[in-house]
Order: sequence, then structure tokens, then C-alpha cells
Amino acid sequence: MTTSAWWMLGITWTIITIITARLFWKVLRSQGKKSADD
Amino acid sequence: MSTSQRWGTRIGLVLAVAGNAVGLGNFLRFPAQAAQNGGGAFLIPYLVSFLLMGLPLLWVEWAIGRHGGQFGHHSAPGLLDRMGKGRWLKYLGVFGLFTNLTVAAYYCYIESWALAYVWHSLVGTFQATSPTEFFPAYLGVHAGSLFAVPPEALFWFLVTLGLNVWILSRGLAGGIELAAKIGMPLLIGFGIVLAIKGLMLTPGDPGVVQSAASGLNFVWQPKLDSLTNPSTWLAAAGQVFFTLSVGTGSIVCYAAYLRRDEDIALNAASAGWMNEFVEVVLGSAILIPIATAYLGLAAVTAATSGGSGFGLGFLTLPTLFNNWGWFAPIAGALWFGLLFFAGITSSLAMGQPLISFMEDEYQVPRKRAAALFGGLTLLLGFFCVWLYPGGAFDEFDFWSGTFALVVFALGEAIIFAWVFGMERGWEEITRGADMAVPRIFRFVIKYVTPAFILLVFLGALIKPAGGDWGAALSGLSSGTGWSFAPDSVIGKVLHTGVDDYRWFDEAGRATPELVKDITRTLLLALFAACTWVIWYTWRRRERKSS
Repeated sequence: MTTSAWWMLGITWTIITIITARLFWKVLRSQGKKSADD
Repeated sequence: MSTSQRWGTRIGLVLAVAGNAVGLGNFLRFPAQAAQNGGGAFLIPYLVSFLLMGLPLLWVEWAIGRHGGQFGHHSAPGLLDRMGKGRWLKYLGVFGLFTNLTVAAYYCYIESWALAYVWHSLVGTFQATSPTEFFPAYLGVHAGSLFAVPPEALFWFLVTLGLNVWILSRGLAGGIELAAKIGMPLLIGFGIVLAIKGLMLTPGDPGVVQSAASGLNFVWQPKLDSLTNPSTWLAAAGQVFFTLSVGTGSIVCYAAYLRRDEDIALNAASAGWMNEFVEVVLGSAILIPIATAYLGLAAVTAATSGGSGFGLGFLTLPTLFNNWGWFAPIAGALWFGLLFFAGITSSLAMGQPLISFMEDEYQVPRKRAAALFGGLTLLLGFFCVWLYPGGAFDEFDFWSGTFALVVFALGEAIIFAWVFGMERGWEEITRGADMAVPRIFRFVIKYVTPAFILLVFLGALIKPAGGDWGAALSGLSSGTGWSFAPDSVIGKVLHTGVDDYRWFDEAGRATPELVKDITRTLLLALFAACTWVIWYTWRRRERKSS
């Protein structure tokens, strides 16, 4: 693979994976809270 | 009754909405679109479109759904009726029933192919028979014939429909949510296994002619000059639009089962980004790298030139898996299992709006409403199966799965920002939010998102021949006129590209043009019938209340 392809892939995959994981983690955490409240 | 139904868990809801968005296009269409429209550079307009059109539209649809749900509505006509005083609003909601029903008809058929391929992979069919021979026989396609009655394809179609009806009849928490909780982790797990196995292919492995990394390079090599081409931007906006399942009326339906103060901002963003993860990370790492490893880059470039990886996915990959020895049947089952889970979590979302409508307006029990959805889908689906060789399937896909979606989404975006009003709209999106929605989105939702969808709409309406916008615009200014592409809306209506337009040939046999026109008439009649049902339902409702 060329360097520019590696950069494009690396940056995009990292951004999308981090944002998805963060949001999903927030959902998981708030679900735990909600269950405790219930 | 539906008003007492709720989602069981928040994770379940997010997975159900993400499952609705994740479809076969994530694995078959995205990588081909990216590779053919600028490679890695495609991701720039793609992510811009996601942030300015996709994500805002998700928030808009969730807000419309939760708002109308408080008044006991759970399907698009009633939900849109609550967005303002205009009596016409509910009629835009006709799209939310029509689109789901007609898309489900052919989508469940594709889904059933994936299920059939799981079976045939496991029993080793593709070790003896090439999929290029298997598939036409499976579909009952014969040269020169416009009709097909394929017994095996109908069997798997019935199995798939039965499964959908059974899951839908179990309700939100016990059916759709459970299916998403099982299907989505399996889909991601299968995808990761295939991506790792595929990306490890190097020359020297049996049958490998090029490293899988060359395929990954094909998808990701940025061709920055493509960014000046309007076609790249339209392709990216179109991909974002269709991957999120917005404009179908299913997200508004799912969101209608939320309580008034339950979060929608984080739920919508989480489901949307999960779809992006599956599409961009997993979708780009399986099909094209594996196909490139065994076929070489030139063959894969040619196979994806139309912007779809469907042929590679269904006709080529099963043969290529044969190079994996004892793992071949498992790899085939994982690949088509992944496509099946992607499909069923989407088709369930297409069934729910009709069920909600029947429950809300006619107090039809859920099981009977699910059976009604199954029956209507079977009728329309049989039309697609029967006239598949004549092109009925493609007509359904174009008018329902492409055009109707954009019209509905455009209407939703305008109604939300300009009829309901951004003041109330913003309050609706942010009420109970578990994340801070940047205020810039208030401006984006009001002006940018509708403009973006309008561009996608115009792109579909007047797409020029060859997709060459530059040449078309210069042709317009030089007075030679605008030539429409055969797959533009106007081109379709005018039968552009058809040299000899007639319904019967010299021998008196029906032509594909007849099939196309019959299919369009059927779709128009169905839309008119849905509109009448909405008119009748509201008249009945008014009489009851007076």
C-alpha cells in the first residue's frame, strides 16, 4: 500500500472507531445508571 | 395495543436502529463506490455529507418520531400530522408506508438469497458448481424469457418472510430488539473474522495472485483531483443517504415508542456512527481485498466499474473461498450469514410501520398485523420474483428504494425546520439529551441539510448522460442541450437510451418495456391506494370524535 493510502485509512478508521466506541460506551453507561434508578 | 409497547433496553434500541441502517449496501456498495469515486479522497465528501446531512437528518427523524409518539401515533402519517396544522402533512406520511412495503418486497427477496447461500456454502454446493452457473438457475432466468417461477428461490423467500413475520409478531422488545441483540454482534464478529483472514492473504498462498493489501490500496488510495468532480460529491452524498435508512419512515416509527424525556440525541448519534464503523471499517476490508488477492486488481476494477460489488459478492466470492480448504464452507456461511443479518435487521424495520399503523388506527392485534405485512410483501415480492428477468425488480429498487426515499426525506427536513419550526425543533432534539449537541447544528438543520437533500434530489432527477456534469453544463451553455442519463428520473420517465420503445415485438412477445410500464403502473396504483387509506382513516377518525 502507498503511504498516502495508509494515512487516509489510518486516520479515517481511527476517527470512526474512537467516536463510535465513545458514543456506545456512553449509551452503555447511561443504561447502567437508568437501571439503577429504576 | 401499541401505545403500551416500549423498547426493553436502550442498547437494544440503538442496536435495532443501527441494524436498520446496516444493510447489504455497507458491504457490497460502499467499497465499490469509494474505489470508483476517488478512493481515499471519497471519504472527504462522504464524511462531510454524514455530518451535514446524515447525522442532522437522523436527529430530525428521531425528534419527529418521539414528538408524535406522545400523541399515540407510531407511523409516518400520524407522526407528520402532529408537526403542524396543515391537513396535507399526513399525506406526505404516505411515503412512510408505501416505501417500506415496496422496498420490503424486493429486499426480502435479496435477503432470502443470502440465506440460501449460507445453506449452499455449508453443504458444499459451490465446491462443485460455479456461482455464475448456479445463480441464474436459482433465479429461474432463461435467455429470452421475461418471466421466472423458480421453486427454490420461492422456497427461501417464503422461509425469510416467515422468519420476519414471526419476529415482528413477537413485538418490539421480544422480537425486533432481541433479533438486533443477536444479529448485530454476530454480524460484526463475522466481519472481523473475514477481514483478518482476508487481509492476511499474500502471494504464495494457494491461488493468490496479488496481496490483499493491493485491494485495500485500491479502496483507499486518495485521488484528490476527483474532489473537483461534482459526481464524486453526489455519489458520496447518495451513499450516506442510502446507508442510513433515512427517508423510509422506519426510524420515525422506532423513535415513536420512546417516552417524552428519553434521550434521542445520543441514541441517534450512536446508531449512526455504528453504521459508519460497519461500513467504512469492515465494509472496506472484506470484499475488495479478498477479490483482489485472487483475481488481481484489473479484474476487480472492471467488476466494480458500475459502482456496485454485488456481482463480486454473490458470483465470485463463493468460488474464491474454495481456496481456503476446510475453512471454505465456514467462510461462505460467515459471509452470507453476515449479509443475511444485515438484511433481516433492515427488513424488520420495514415491517414495523405498517404494524404500528394497523395497531394505532384499526386496533388490529400485532400478530394479525404482522401476518398482513407478510401477506402484502409476499404478493408484491412474487411480482418481483416472477418478473425478475423482465426488470420489475430494478423498477421497484429505483422508484421505491431510491426516488421515494429522497422525496420523503426532503419533505421531512423542510417540515421539521420550517413548519414545526427550529425553535421547537431544537428543544425537541435536546430535551433529555445525554450528549451536548453543538449549537451549529441548529443552523445546519435549518438551512444546510434541506439544501443537501435537494442537491441529492436534483442529482437523481437530472443526472446527465455518463454522469459527466461538467460536459452537461458546458453543453447547456453552448446550446446543445442537456442529455439525461438513462438512470436519471427524467431519463427513466422518457425511456432514454431505449432505441426501440414498444410493448410487443414482431412475434407478439412482451418486451422489457412492457414489464417496466406495468411495474410503474402497479407502484403508482399502490401509492394511490395508500393515499386513499390515509384519507379514509382520518375521515373515520374525525367522524368518531364528532
